[in-house]
Amino acid sequence: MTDFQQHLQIITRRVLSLERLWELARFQPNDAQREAIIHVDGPLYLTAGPGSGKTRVLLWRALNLIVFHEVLPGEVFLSTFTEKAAHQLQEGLQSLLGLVTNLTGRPYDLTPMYIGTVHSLCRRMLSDRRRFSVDRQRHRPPTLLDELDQYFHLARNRTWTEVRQCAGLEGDANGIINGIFGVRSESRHVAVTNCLALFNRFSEECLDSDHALYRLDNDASSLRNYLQTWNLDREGLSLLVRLYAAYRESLRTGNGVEQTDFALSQQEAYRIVETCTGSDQVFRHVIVDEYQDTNTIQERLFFKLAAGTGNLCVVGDDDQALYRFRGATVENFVEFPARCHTYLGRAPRRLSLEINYRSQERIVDFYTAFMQQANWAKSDGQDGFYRVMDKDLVAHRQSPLPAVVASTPAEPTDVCAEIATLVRRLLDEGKVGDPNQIAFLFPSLKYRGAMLDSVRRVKEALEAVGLRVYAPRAGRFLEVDEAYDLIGLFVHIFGYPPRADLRGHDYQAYMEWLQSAEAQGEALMHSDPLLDGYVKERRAELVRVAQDYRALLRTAESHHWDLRAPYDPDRMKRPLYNAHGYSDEGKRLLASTYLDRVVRERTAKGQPFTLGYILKRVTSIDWNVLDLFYRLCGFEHFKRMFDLAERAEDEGPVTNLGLISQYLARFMEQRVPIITADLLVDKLFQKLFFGSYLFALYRRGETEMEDADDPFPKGRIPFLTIHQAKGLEFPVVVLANPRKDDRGPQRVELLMRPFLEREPGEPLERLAEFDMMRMFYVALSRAKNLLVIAHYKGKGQRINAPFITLLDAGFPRIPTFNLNALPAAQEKDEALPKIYSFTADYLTYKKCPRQYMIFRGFGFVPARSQTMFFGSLVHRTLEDLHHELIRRRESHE
Amino acid sequence: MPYPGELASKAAHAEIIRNPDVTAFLQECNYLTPPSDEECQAVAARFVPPLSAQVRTPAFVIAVDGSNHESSIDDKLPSTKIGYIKIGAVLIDLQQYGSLKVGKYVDPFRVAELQNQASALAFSIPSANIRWGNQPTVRESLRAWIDQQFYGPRTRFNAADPTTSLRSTLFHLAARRPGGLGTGDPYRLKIHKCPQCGNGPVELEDVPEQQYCPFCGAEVYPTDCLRVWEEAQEYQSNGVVMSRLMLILEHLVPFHYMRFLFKTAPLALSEMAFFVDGPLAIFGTAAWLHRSFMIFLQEVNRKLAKHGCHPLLMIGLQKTGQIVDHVSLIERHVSNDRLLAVDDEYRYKYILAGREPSRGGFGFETYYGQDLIYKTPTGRIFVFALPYPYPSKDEPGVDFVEEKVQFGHYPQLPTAIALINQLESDLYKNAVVPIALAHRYTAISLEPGGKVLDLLTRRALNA
Ligand SMILES: [Zn+2]
Repeated sequence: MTDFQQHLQIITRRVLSLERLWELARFQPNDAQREAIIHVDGPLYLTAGPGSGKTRVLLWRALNLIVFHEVLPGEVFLSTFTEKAAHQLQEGLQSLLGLVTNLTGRPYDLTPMYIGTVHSLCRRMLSDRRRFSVDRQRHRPPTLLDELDQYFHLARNRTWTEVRQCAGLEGDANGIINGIFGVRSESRHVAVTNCLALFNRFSEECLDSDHALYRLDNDASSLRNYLQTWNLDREGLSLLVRLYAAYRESLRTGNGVEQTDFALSQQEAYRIVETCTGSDQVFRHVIVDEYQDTNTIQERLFFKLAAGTGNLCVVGDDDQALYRFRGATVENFVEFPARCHTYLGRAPRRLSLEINYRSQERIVDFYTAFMQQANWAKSDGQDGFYRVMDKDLVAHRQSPLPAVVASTPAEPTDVCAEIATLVRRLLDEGKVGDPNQIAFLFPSLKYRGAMLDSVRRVKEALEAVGLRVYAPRAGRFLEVDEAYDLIGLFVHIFGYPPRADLRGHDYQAYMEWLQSAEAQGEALMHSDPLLDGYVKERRAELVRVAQDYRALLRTAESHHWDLRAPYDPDRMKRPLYNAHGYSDEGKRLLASTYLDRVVRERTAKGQPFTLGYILKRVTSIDWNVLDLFYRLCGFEHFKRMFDLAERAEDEGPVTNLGLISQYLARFMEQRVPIITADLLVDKLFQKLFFGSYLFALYRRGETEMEDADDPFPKGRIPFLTIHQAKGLEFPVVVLANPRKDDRGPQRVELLMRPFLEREPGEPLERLAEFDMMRMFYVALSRAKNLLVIAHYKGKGQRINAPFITLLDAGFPRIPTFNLNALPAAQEKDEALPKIYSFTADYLTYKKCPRQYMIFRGFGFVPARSQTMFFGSLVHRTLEDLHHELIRRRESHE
Repeated sequence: MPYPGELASKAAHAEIIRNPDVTAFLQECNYLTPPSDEECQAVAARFVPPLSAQVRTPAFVIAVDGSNHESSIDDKLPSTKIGYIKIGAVLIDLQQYGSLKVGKYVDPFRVAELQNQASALAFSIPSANIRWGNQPTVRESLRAWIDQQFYGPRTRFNAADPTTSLRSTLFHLAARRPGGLGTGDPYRLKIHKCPQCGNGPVELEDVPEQQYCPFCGAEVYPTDCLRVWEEAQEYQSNGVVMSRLMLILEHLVPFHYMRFLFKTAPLALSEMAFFVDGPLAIFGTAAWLHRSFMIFLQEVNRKLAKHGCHPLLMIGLQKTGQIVDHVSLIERHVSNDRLLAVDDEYRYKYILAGREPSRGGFGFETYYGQDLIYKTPTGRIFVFALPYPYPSKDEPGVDFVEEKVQFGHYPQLPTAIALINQLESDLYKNAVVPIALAHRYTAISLEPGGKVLDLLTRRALNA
């Protein structure tokens, strides 16, 4: 070692300290944060109020372990609630570790780190044969179905029939199934949707169907009482359990490959950890974020993973528990200390993050008071609470100024108008910079796919004062203008699907939607001759390849050639070439020397092409649905949307286009990657695309996954469900409907309870109230500077009890609210350091800023033809823009 | 560089001055005479209290100092000489240093311990009548040998990786050279002409292989760009080359550290201070380096600023020289804890005895840092320099001569002062511990009259 090298080591070893890193990252942790970051050994129970800097703590905790405690990244298991959160944490960590590298020269690789949602981590465990090598026979992990795939799987004719038969149901039994769920409907769609919700709960509670059936047959009196109380029927329950067993069987055997769903993959991961020795020590640290939203199987898995080391750190806020309907059991969090005793044999260190860095003092006071409106004490003579009580939230932004305001109690139309005027003023007076900083939150936005009246009223009031709304999840996503535009053009290119033998309201509505889309497409073509020409060309191309395919097929049949037999050019090429009606374009493909060469090579290798393959190959289209999407985007109508977004005037349309591109990509991935002519004859493609895929999206009112990372477009006011707003914050929040009716416990919950293998936790009759409290708590705590509450009054109007109490006569009301005292919203500075990758960000941006904006900013899925798309459209318009800017600058001077 | 009084032969000094011929000669010369009390007071009034600021002193100091020595290889061949240069780099952990002081004094044993974290680069130079290997002349031996030593594993941060060598650092600096001789590519540099045929420029790569002049085919070396060979002598002592090279190395070595840290752990640079001996300037044939230094420092500071870190702290500490002489004359008139940035007007008037100002301001071709005079709260005077805050002396919109003396342009000034106060040393006059240590470290082997080196020389050449 040279003296220089020695010096270097001394320096880099010493310049590193957590304090120095905090200083460099401009982070000043408070005492609780500091303690939570440096806690290393043993379980940690971290309660974190809203806006208390929880994510930062997680970030620094991971950093502290990796940098200062020699924990390898691969030894950290960090589970987050959404992929977005995981992504943020990972980027943040990468960036901070970059800082460390800059100080010490020591590089870090985070790829071995287990960070992501439980689902993705389970999936990773299943394929991590190096560390969890239990099932050596299995060649690959089962294919994971996401929620939409799961739906498609079960709703498929074959599966649905099989499953019902296995469960012993004859004939069309959708009505029976729906009846058990308390719904009067013959619809398969409804039956499948309900079943899946329950099946997922069963899986999350690790229900063993044999055992469950045994219990139903040999019931105790308690079960009888339960069924009576809730008016449930034993036979119905038994049928559901049998259907569940059949569903699981269908996953194992259906489709040729083994499949699994989110819930079941967790069970499998658990089983692996249980059976694989040493797997409770693979991770030296198990860290779980949003622990209040974990379910039974997840809790078991986490404790199992941490059993070897005791290093389980859970972070959460029981007051923000939102996902009971997904099986989340908030008791996992509230009772964590007791569970720690049970599973790890020790008590956790308890820390509480109570300083709120997000909201004005009055807002924090308000939601704290809100939570105290409910009685959280346990019933039935038990001690304790269904809530972590010893929390004392303090606002970091101390200010006596009012920051919570309610509308004048009135009829909805008046309330909406008053709020709309306030919003208008907030924008006009510069209290917020962009409409997307004002979020309107609702308990729900739609019912059965259609926007709720209570939501529509607010939207209309805002539109009346010249504001635009972004609410892709209110109503069906397919009902946004951009979907009409694009799908309308698709209809003109591909043609209608053959009319399916489907009755029912949904199908009728869907066909009407498709017709409107077609009309919209026609209008677009009419207004743009270039577009018109393009669409007709594509249409002609499809017709031609279909004709070619038929011509070739006829020739093959007349020669009695088997399509599965090897293609023999010497014998077949000429007759095919001369097939009657075979187009010149097709002939060129068949006659190409390239094809000849490939055919020869394959034959020489002993893997000759089949005749069928060759027929498809010489009649396939060289573009797919995504390519088509991008080429259509190049026409004036869509181009304008990109211009709007680029000028940051309105990002709504482009955001919607981005979502459409994601659906098209999914279709390609799962259904039709390449459009071949055999799919066009008999309209098979049209059936798959319009008749099945789009129809399913339409019916499910499908929008996006709940936790999707979609941007809030500039220029529009976001309308969100409170669930969607989880984890977000906005300068101004309008709680536009403080009403959530108590409809009793959810059906799935009722159907699940008799099979619970654990303490049932919160009593059924109090669930609705608790859930309502927590949901509104989440809504109220999203606001930074101003919280506005709609106060409805009048016939048929009500708001929930805590609001009635809190919004008393002395409460600040909009008409007398002094806007001047309100601080202006700061430009959003990223709470976490963001790192940009060289290739994905820098190079793309350098190559083309618009391309960067679209792919990185709006989540467009790239297609093969993107280069062409960007080659023509983007650069042309970018140049226009550039010239425009120069022109303006010159005219100013 | 020797400390005053260290290698003294003061007796001779007085003798000369008293010689009447000399006195007569001096009367015809312009030279600096001690200022009057009035002048002293006027000068002292220019000193101001330093800006007080909250500072965080660095975690580490690296101090670099060099020394050289020439010896005959054999008593019987007194005119066959070899030279030695030793560059010491002391790394001081300031936290440890804090524990060194016992009351007012520094614990000498502890200081000695710090020397364990010292490194020394030894260079040997064929001086008179020595040729290396197959080289036909002393000049060529010298060029080849210098290049080999710059490239050698001892100069590398990673012995196995030649791109961490001192020679590669030279490439990095030369690449940044403005004008036609810069390449912009840290793996290429240009020498202005081939030492053999005089044609040029010649571009060379940072590769281990021997490279040749495209004009004449003679061997050329990357280190030729330092142009020390121009002063090489065949038959006489090469003391001039030695001291030139030593001065260059005293500045190159800190930049060697900086270059490598900048690449591997740039933020660590914000935790360090570099001390070099003498003003921040490169004189003579390699003076071009001063521009590369300025550009490089600018790059470093930009990066540090991007991460919210302070600029790099580099201090040139002067123990001797005209400013130091000048200061000794006025010292007693200056109050404690006072600071002065030496501007050109002051320098030409009081320090340089009315010499004609040079084009573009003092030190236009040589200096990369601003000289400052500081009298500590304890009354000790330090003359030191901080790097100019610009990458060049003719930045558009910058009146360099004016602005280079504005304290506000030196964000690291408060830290520098705090550090000097912290390190103020009792070991040597006008020195702070690190530089003294660095010096001592290099001086050690020279102490017994260079005897050890003499022995080594003989053994090496006879073997
Ligand atoms: Zn030459």
